[in-house]
Amino acid sequence: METPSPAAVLLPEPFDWLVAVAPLLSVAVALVAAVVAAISLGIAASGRKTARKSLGIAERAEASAAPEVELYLNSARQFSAGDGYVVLIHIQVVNRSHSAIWVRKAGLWVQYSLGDQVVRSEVTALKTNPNKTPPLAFPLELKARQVADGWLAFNITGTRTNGRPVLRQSLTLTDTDGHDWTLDDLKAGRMR
Amino acid sequence: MTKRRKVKIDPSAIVRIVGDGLIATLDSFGGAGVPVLILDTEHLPQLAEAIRVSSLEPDGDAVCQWGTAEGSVILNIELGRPLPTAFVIHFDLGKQGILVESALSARAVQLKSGSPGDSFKSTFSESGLVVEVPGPESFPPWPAVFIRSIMENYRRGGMKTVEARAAAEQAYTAMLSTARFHIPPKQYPMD
Repeated sequence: METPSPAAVLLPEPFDWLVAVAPLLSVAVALVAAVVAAISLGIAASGRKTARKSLGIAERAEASAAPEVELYLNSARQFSAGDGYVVLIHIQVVNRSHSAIWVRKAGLWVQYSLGDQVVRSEVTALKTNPNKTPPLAFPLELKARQVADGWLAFNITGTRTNGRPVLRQSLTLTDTDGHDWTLDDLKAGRMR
Repeated sequence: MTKRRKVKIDPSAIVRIVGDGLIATLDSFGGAGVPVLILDTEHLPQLAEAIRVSSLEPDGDAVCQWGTAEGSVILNIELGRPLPTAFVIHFDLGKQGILVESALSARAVQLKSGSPGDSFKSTFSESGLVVEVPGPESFPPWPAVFIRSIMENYRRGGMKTVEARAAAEQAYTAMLSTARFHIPPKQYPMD
């Protein structure tokens, strides 16, 4: 019987735990790092999303924070003056919001035809009322829950509309932030 | 830095300048020369009416924006009060570039209603609408767009590019003294 030469004998190598486990360990560490990075990224992204949402909510809140103002028409009268007419309007302005507002001006928007189209143009209120009624002075401060009461007068001359008849008129109050409140399609009774 | 954006302009809202001039008063705009633009409002009666009505009202609201379009300059104006209307003034840089320079410098233009053939003299007694416009900081393409336009004119006349650029820059510098004209502040005698 022939015995194998020592060179041909393959002896099993001793098992090296360090060599076998080290790559696995490094893969595991890399995986954990990747998971942590993904979680951080997610948190950052959700943070931005939350910030955007908060900004949107804040913007909507700001937009909806327009002061709540109500306009009431007590009476409207008009009489002829020169080649036009004067409108006298008695209104109540109610600030229903919880903060003060400043009404900057009042304007009467008159509509008249210009060729085949209808234009609207603003007439500013007179400084003094012709019938000596107490006028609303502008700028008008309205504190929270305050009511103001007074008269406004507008002179719509023939020159203003170039002699064209007024088709419709509406009263608009504007505050210092640019908010408008309108009493549309005012009909004024005639005075003699 | 102002962000530039493209907008589509309604061709029917474009108005041409048929006459122009420059007017300066000591009491307004610091004595700066304000360009007077006589606009062809025949196809825009609403604009003519807005200019007429504005002379009867103490003040008004307007939003203005400068822009460029195919080598020319435009001024987009939206009037809010007393008569709401929107229109676009077209400046032909070959002839009216100095008006843009004056308007940017004075930060104002005076608009008058007219028709082809009207001039500064023929409309002098008519009332105009003064509109405050944005200054040069809100129109970064200026004056490069104007200098390029002058340069193109010189090149069409036969100049070489380098010479045309130098001549255009010189022409622009020479024009500034007229475009930025203003009345010097009044000197009051000391008591």
